[in-house]
Amino acid sequence: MIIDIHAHFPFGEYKHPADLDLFLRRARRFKVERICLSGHVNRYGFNPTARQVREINSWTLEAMARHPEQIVGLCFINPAAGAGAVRRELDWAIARQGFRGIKLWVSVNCRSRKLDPVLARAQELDVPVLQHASYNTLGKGAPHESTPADVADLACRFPAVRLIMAHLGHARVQGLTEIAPHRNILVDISGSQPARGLLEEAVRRLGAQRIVFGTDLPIRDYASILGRLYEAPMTDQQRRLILGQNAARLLRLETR
Amino acid sequence: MIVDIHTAVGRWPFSAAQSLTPLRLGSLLARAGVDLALTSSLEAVFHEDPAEDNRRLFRQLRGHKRLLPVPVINPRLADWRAAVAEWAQRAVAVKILPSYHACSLASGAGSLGAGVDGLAEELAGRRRPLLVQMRMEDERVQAPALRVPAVPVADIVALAKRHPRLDIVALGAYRLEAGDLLRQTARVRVDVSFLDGLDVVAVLVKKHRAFAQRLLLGSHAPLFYAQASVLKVLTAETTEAVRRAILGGNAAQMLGL
Repeated sequence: MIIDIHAHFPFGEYKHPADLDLFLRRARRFKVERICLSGHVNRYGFNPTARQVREINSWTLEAMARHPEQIVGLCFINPAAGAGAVRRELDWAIARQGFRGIKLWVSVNCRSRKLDPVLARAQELDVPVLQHASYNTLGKGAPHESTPADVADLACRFPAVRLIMAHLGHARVQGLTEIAPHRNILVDISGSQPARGLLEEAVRRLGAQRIVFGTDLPIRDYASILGRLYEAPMTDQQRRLILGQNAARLLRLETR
Repeated sequence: MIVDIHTAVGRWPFSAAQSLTPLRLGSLLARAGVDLALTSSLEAVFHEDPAEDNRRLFRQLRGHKRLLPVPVINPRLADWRAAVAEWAQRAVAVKILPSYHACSLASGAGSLGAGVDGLAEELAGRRRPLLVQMRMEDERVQAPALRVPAVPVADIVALAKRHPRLDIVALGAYRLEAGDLLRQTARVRVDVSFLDGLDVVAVLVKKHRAFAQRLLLGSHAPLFYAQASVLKVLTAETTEAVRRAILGGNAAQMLGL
C-alpha cells in the first residue's frame, strides 16, 4: 500500500472540486491508494483567523466526503488563534469529522508555547502532527518558520506525540542529526529536488521505520518523489515501510 | 531510444553520494531505461581551465556505448577557440557553466561575456548545440558558504536573440523559468531535470503544443536520481508521440543521432 502523507487541495491553480480528479488520476497512475490532504495552508497568509481555518478544513472535509476511500484529512491549525479556537477546531475535525491528524505550517514556531494546547490535544486524541520544517540557505520563508532543531525542541516537550517533520529535502544532514535522538519524530521525504544521497542518509541515521512517503502535491509530483524512493538503495522491506506501512500505522489505516 | 541530455561523471563535493565512475553511471542509467546519455565532467565545473578534465572525460568514455562526452568550455579564457577546435569535431555538443565560470550571457560587450558570442557564433556555424547549465543545485539547499546563483532566464533569452541559428539547451530550469524560456524564444530547448509539480510535463505541453518539441529528457544524474526525470516523462498524461519525442526523439533530431 502506498500512502502519500503530504498533499494540498485546493492549492494554487487547482481550485475547483473537479481538479481533485486530476490528483486522484495521477495517484492511481503511481498506485498511490491514499492521499492525506492538509488543506490550502497558504490561502490566507501566515496567520489565518479561526473562521478562515475552518473554511480551509471544510474544503478538506468536502474532498473526504467525495472520496472516502482515497482521501484522508489532516486538520490544519493556526496555534496563534488561541487555545479555545484550537480546541474547538480539533474537536470538530478529529472527534466529529474523522480527520486523522493535525497539520502545522509556519504560523507559529515550534519553540513557542502557543503550540502546547495543540500538542496536548493531539496527545489526548492520539493523532500524529505533520509539521513543516526547513533549512533554507537563502533565509527563512516566513518569520516563524521552524527548522529541524525547532521540531526537536517540540518533540522533547511532547515525547508522547508522534511528529512527522515535513521535507527531508530541506532538512540537510544537520537536520537529520538534530531529530535523530527523538524517537517520536518521523520525516516525510518531500522537498526540494531528487538529490541523490539524502534519503540513504535518512535511512542510515533514522532507520526506515521513521521515514514516510509524502509529496507536497501539487507543488511536487509523484514522479520526482517516488523516483527517489525507487532508485535509492535499500531493502524491499525498508521501501515498503516508507511507502505506506509506517503511515498506515501512524494514521491507524487498514492495510491490504 | 531514450536519450538523457544531462549527466556527468566525477565527484560532487557537496553531496554525501559517492563519486560515480562511467561504468556505474552507465549501469544506473540503464536501470532507468536510458539508452544514450550526454555526459560531462563534474570536476570541470570548478576548474578555471577545464581542458584537462575534458581530456580525462574523453579518455574515460572511449568505447563506452551509452555515454557521449560533452566538453565544458570556459568562454572567459582567451584561447576558447583552441578548445572548440580540440573538441567540437569529436563532441555532439558543448557545455558552458556561466555561474561557475563567472561569465555573462547578457551582452556581447565587456570582458565578462567577451567569449560567449564568439563561441555561440562558432557553434552555430558548426551546427553544434550549446548546453547552458542554469544551476547545479536548488539554491535553497546549497552549502551556506558556497552559494552560486542561477543563470537568469533573461540572459539566455538575450543570447538566443543575438544568435538565432544556435541550438541552445537550458539545463536545470524550474517550471516557471522553463515556461518563460519556451514562450520568449523560438528555439531554446529545456530539459526536465528541475521541473516539478503535478504532472509537470503534461501541464507544459497542454499550455502550448509546440513546447513538446523543445522539451528534452535530462536527469542530472548522478547528482539526482535518474528515475525521477524518466518517470516525469514516461507517466505524463499526453500522447505517446509527445512522450517519445521528449524521451529521445527531440534530442536525436537536434544532435543528428
